[in-house]
Amino acid sequence: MQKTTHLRLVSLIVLVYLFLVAIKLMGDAFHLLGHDFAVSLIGWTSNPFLGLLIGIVATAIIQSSSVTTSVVVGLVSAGGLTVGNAIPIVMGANIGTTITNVLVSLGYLRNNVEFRRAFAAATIHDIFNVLCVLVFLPLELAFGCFETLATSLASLLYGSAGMSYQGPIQFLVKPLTKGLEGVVRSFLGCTDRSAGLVLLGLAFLLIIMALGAMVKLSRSMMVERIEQFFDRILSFNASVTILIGVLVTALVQSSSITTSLLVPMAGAGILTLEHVFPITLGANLGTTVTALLAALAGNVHGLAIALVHFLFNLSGIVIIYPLPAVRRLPLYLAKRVAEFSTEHKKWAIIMILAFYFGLPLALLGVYELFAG
Amino acid sequence: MLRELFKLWKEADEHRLFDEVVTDFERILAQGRKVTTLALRTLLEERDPEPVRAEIYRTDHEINNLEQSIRRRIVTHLTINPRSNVTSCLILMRLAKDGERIGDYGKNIYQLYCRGGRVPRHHLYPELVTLFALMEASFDPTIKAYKESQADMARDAIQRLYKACKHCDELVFGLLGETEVECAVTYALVFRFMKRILGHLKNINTSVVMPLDKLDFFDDVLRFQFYEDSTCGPEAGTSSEKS
Repeated sequence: MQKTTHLRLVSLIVLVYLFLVAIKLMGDAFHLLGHDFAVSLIGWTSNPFLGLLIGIVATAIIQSSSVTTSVVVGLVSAGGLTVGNAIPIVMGANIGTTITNVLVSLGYLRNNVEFRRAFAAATIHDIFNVLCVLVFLPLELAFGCFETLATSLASLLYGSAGMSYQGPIQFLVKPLTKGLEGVVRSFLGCTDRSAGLVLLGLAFLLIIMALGAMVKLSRSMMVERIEQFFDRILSFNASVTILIGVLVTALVQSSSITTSLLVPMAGAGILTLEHVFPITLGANLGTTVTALLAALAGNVHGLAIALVHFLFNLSGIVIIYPLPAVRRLPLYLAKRVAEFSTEHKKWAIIMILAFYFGLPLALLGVYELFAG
Repeated sequence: MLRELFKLWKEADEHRLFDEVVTDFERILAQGRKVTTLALRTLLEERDPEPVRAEIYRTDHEINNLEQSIRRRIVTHLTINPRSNVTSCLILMRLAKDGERIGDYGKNIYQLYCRGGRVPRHHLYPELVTLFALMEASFDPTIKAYKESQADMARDAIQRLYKACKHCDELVFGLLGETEVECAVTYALVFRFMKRILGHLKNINTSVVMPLDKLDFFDDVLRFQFYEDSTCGPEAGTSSEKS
């Protein structure tokens, strides 16, 4: 047993290392792709609503906000995205990630009572994130509050060294990224631009694979503890429940895992929507750990966007949860949406497809057609 | 509260939650025995009903809470570990119901005392005392057989309990010609409730020797034994026999 634990721990360290290598590799790939590529990408994402839609669709397809935010951290660190442009993408990722538990809740379609409970537990996450975006995106566009605060905090953490700072993580990942770059160049014998494209693809693939394996491994390592926490969840107050959500999600590196586990328990009637809500909020906060981890291989700007993710999710909890009147709003909306979806199941499925894919893709198409 | 979280974190191990569920089930059985024993003693010996009443209802409430806790934990366990112990979980879910029913029938026996007082003297009174002794003695082997997966012990218990159930039926049918209706009804109900308690204990024992789909039924070894004993064996031609 001890041997297996050690083996898993070593595997986890290797996976974290590969994940950080992938983030650094993305930065190196961008340097090879040149300044023009970065400028065109920045130009394409300068529309915040477009960024939001990209965040929703990309995350809904990958079903992991951790992948999206990690890629965003990599891109921001590499100069392919500005912190300001990346903020709506991160907000969109928060919405897109909720598709996983909505899909889990569809497993209860046959039983109306269970479906209503499960669907409400799944959509509370959507509704909370949508409300946060409705509140904070206009504020961000008007005052740039998250960007200013996160950039100041990141600068404070990096100190005066700023962009030129090379931490131990950078030192550790550099040999492998340089080695991979060398392999790609020698095998393909290609130009900087082609090598950059290959490395960018490799970095994306490595992020998805390393993060996926990390989530699986962490889940298997933490399963007993998760079980203990969830078993006792009814005996804890809301603040501790939020903390459990943060802890479990930070350990498994995926809010989808935490929230998807809540859906069957809510469907079975073991957890009420009022129990599910604080854990979901904790999961939203816990998932920001991945972006912060990715920022270890990035720079001050990468850290700034990772901090934006953290501050955005923390602010959501602060403005919505403490006041009972405000807290009741997402709960009420989730219950109404679940009731409607139970009565009109076909419409519920159409609504899900439209919300995550149809509407964002249609708006992206319209934008490309008229403004692009 | 945070200390409690830290404690949970430290104590977590692979089978903890499942072990706790098994312990809860054993507690259900122990409390079921307490309710039935208390109720039957009151019915046979006439005691001060008020403290007994409080104890019976409190224990029954505890049994119900334990059953709900088992269900909740099993759903939590299966949600987080969908592929582990599925069969054991389904069996435990069923057994918890058997345990809970034992408590309910014990309560029913007490309610009989509340309505009619102590059981009247009758020629079947010694039968009642014998069945009560058998029932009381069946709890420990049932818990032991389940806990240690002792197939032989479970088979012995099933055979004993099956015979006792059949005997209860015979006693009830034997009361059909009674002229003292009130006494006959009381005895018929007590025997009927006792038969259910014995039947649920038998079901718990079948979980040791039978696969999930045949829970509450008999296996070939048992059926063969029942055929040998023609006074209590199930009818020929049935693939499996339920209590």
